[in-house]
Amino acid sequence: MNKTTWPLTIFGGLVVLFVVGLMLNPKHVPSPLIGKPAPIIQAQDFISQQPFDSTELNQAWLLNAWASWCSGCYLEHEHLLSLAKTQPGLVIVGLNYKDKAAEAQQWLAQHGNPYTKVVFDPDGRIGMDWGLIGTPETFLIDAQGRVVDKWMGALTPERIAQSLLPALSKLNQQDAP
Amino acid sequence: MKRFLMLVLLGVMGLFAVTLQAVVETYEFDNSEQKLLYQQMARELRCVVCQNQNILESNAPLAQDLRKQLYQMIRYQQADEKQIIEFMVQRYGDFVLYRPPLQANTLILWVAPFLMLLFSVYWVISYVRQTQTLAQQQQENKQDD
Repeated sequence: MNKTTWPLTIFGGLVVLFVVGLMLNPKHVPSPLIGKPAPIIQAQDFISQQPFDSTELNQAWLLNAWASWCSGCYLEHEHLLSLAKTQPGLVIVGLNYKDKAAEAQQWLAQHGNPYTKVVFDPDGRIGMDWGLIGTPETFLIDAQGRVVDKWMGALTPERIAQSLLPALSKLNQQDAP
Repeated sequence: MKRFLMLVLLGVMGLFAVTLQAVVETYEFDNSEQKLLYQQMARELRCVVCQNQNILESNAPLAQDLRKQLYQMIRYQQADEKQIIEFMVQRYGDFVLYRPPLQANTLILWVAPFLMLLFSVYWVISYVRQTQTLAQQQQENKQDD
């Protein structure tokens, strides 16, 4: 390489680096929980008032953080409903994040309830343990209680079909034999 | 007229600067060390929602929660810096720290500036030497003529 080409090469390399960096989504913050034991939830089920303990699930489950004030949650709600319908055995736990009880209850009554259990988290304490950044956020937890994956923002039919369902069936295959 | 408009604009900008600073709740501490630790940590922790602000400056609900958590840890659990960082990183990842830790995946971040400095020093020295020898050669050529 001669004298004039190597500064150009370095410049080109930096340009590539910056372009790649700019294309990354800064809102995508990788969860440090992935691959680690899920934070334990011991609370009262918001609907049935029965105690709920996440360690007793012993199967793959979803945690979906939502709130009645959250517009992204409204967007994904119908897809959650159809997910609950098409996957009857799937446990979907709703984490009602920083919400008012009456408003959350009304929301579920009005729009339908896709959740197996709903955990009420008015002060965001449970959300903090899960490293929640914003609603909606969805976690997939395996039967051994480890966090497998996390989806930030509203679930769409594409995200469910291309990412969530494959991850789920992979887990079920692992647990089956 | 232009100058007047400029002044008005600057005045308006000044107003925003004042409101930005007026976010923080007042927390009472047992001693000045706790207060200092609180302020230091609140400056070093990133608000993960509004990513370019620390939790001291941010008005986001999550930043408020994290300030409250920070306060409770310092005042009631006597947590030190290490415990606080551990708590936050466990939940929000290294991203929550404004000062990234020195570890395998951040090594290039820490080393690259020094490498660049070394490289540019080398480049400047070799450039100066080259021009010097060139000048000398030219002088010698002139003397030969």
